[in-house]
Amino acid sequence: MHAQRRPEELLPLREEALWLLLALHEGAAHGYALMQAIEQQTEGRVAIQTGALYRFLHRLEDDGAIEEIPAPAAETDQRRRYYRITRFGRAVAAAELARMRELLDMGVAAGVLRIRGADA
Amino acid sequence: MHRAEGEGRARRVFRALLFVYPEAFRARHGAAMTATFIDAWRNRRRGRGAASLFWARAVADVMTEGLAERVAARRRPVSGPSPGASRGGMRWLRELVQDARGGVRALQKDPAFTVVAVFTLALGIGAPTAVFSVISHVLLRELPFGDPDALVFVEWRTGTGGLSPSGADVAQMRESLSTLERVAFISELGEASLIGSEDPEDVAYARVTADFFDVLQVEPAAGRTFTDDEGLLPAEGDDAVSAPAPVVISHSLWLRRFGGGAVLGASMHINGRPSTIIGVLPEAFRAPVRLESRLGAEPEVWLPMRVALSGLARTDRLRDQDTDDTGVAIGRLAAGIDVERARAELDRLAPLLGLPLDARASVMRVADSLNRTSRPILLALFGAVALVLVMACSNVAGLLITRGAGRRHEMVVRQAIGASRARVIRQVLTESAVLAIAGALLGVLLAHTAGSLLFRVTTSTFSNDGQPVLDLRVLTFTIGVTVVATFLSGTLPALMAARTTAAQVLRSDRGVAGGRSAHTLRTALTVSQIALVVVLLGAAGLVLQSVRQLERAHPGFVAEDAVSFDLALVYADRYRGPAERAAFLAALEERLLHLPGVTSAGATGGLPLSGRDFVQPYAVGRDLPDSDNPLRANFRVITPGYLPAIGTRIVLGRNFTPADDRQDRRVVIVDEALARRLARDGQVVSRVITLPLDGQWERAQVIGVAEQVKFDDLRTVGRETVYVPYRHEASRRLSVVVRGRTPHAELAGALREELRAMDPRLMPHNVQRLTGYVAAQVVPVRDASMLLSLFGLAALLLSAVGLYGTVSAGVAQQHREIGIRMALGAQPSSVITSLLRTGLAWAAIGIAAGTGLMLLAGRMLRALLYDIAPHDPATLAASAAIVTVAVLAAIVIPARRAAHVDPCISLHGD
Repeated sequence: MHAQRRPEELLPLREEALWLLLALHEGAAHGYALMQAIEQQTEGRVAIQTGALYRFLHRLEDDGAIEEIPAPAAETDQRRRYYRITRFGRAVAAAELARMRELLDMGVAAGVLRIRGADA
Repeated sequence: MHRAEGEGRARRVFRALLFVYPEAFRARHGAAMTATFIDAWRNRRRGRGAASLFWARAVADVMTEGLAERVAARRRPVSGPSPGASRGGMRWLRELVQDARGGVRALQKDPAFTVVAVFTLALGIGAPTAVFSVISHVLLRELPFGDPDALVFVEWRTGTGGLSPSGADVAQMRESLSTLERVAFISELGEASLIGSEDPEDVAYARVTADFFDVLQVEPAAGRTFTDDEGLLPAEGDDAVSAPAPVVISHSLWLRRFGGGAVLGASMHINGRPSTIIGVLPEAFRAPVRLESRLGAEPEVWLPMRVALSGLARTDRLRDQDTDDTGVAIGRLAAGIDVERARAELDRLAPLLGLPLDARASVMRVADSLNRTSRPILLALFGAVALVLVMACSNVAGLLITRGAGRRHEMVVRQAIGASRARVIRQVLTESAVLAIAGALLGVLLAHTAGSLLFRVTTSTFSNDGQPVLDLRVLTFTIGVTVVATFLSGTLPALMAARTTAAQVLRSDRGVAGGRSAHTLRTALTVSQIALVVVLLGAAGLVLQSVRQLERAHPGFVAEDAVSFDLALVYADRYRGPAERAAFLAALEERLLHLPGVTSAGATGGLPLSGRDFVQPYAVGRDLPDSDNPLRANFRVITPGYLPAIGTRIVLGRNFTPADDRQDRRVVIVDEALARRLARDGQVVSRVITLPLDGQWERAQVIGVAEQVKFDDLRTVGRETVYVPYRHEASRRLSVVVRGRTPHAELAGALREELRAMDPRLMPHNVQRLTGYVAAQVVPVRDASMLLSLFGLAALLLSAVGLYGTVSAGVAQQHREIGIRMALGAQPSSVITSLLRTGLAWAAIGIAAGTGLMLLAGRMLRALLYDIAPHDPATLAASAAIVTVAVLAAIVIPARRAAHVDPCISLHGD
């Protein structure tokens, strides 16, 4: 079902959803690891709480962007659940980044934004 | 281990919070969410403030996201990313501030609503805060001892009552118990005259084992406590050593008599005996004695016991040892031992101590024991204020829903311009949080006043020690209540707001009150309020009636116009044997009778309602009692003057005379209960019973029957009682009753004089009116009934206001409908009737639900009830009637307004 959908249908992504996809791009992870990864990556600017996190995971899973996988053998806490990004999910993230790049280019072209170093 | 406990609690709390999410969501993600949360919890920042912040964020997150998920799940588009808000650090805070500002602004625009809501919440939050401040002060107070949870009282229970441990029991416990690390003993509590450099005064004192303060783990504020050898000095007696006795004094006595200055080594005379002060106790120290103990005041002087514990045997009625040396035993549980194990070991010890065969050990934590009477009362009150809180919140919820209905356009516009549902929910919740915080501020002020008032009127019940304060614990509680109030009052309105769609608004029925669903919700809230009011009023009614019954109950004696005092005939030079003590009492009564206004005087081993208990086996006829399962009766030794003095009537036969002291012809008086047993097979007077007297089994003839007396408490019917002439069981500790119309203070002064004249060493202590013993039983229940009535009335008022609001809103909403009906010829009276009919239907449902709740809640009240069933139909009917009247009153005003609707105007509105 998901395979027939185009990644663009999910755009624009909520910022948190994108962060989650990017974090999962680096490898499968469980909930708390994702929370930490996002907090580290954004230097604390984005901190997702448990309640919100699972609503995002729920949606992304329903949309086929991520999927649950069995926990690695080394996992001691049976309750933790691991997610990994799907091929579709990668496409969604890429599409969203492409959209952002497009916006960025427009901004630079219009002179709203100057890219540091480009002036020098 | 501690950590695991905390983690378990965090897990449970979080799981409970998850119920905000829809069931399907919870089933799918609940376990993983909990695991993630626990991961976060393990790595949370430590420290007091950080912990609160962590939980605040967690609760806010789950509440808003869960509610948003519920709304989203209801009409979820097939696909599409629409999870609600998730906030990163500063953004979260920024939006919160934004919402709060918006909330305050919106509330400012609607002052009438705001004032009503804030006052309602102030009551709802203030009342629990006030009651909690007393609970915190009385029940949760840290006892002023080291590791207080390990301290236990040890005593014995038989089938018919309690038995205090004797010094010898304690000596044996120390020797053979492994579950109790140490055992201390209070051998004497009394009043002593204290003479130092200042005026003499009477102070309460306690005599304790030398290790008493070590067992309690109390460090003195100055000086030291007793050393072991100080407990081994020669016994006091007629020719006791004159070496000064070491004493430890209380902080208050130190301030009062020594101005808080140098005091160690100072000497004073206690009951005429020289003493040296060796230590001062810390200010917070309080004696671990129960309030119902004989002593009215906190001991201020502590003396070491100077005889060997093993010498203090229980008065054994079968072998009169001429001693009565029981007291209070306080043990410290060994590490890792619980109360149950200590009790089991003591049970095994009991047979070695010569106790009655059915004696069992009773081990009770000091902390629990001190609160035995106040706990059920406070918990019942707490239940009541919890209901008041729920009422207040449901009222405010009703107000918010009505208000929200008028703001539906605003909500739809907000959603249309991109606010997520979670954001809308948060905005409404923030508004109710603003209301709750304002209410809490006002409520804390209220609680501050009410709490000390509450405490003052109930001092006798709880503790006479200090004042409840709004400390950190109470304020933390208030914050918790505020959070609860926010969600209780805001959740439904928030859901309503988030569920609103543009389409609904466009096709909505017009009118200020808005949607039908809002009205349905308000009706449901109103009905549940009626139910809660029925419960509160019912509880108040039951307790009020208990007070009336208690005050009316005849205790078997006449408490008015009589004064009693306690006396200890402990000096071996004068009161060695029963004959000497009986002679002294006869002389004392003679002198007392000559006092102006005194009509009778007499002495007993223990007054009714004084907490003293003397239960012994006996048998009807000449045979010895069945050794396994004997009949047991309450034994009271009395002088001939006692029954007339206390006002217990002789219903059959005669009273004792001095001639009944003869050893060769024993006589007793029995009470009506025992007389009924005797009457089953023959007459009562002149029957013989066998009982332990003067150290052996004796046969005694019944010469009279006295009316039944409530010895234990006013609630329970007294058990069978045998009155024995004092001479035959001459206890050293006794109470004297003096009946006369002389003013109390005058009488008290006069009898002190008389006693001093007879023996200056004797101090009458616990001088009080007999009514005091009765009041001690009635006052707590009366206080509780007063408070419950107050809460009941507050709840009634709240529900009436809520009902009025609901009906008004309903009327406003049906304006058009009513207009049409009246245009078609309906009479105003029929409009009123139809509204009243609806209101009465609500009342009926509410009353039915409330009655059901009352039947469940009645058990909580049992401790406060006397001679009335928790489901008393008359009381339930009365509270239902009051509620019905209030419902009618709250409906009539808006109904009359509706009846005067002018069809032209209302239809013109279109």
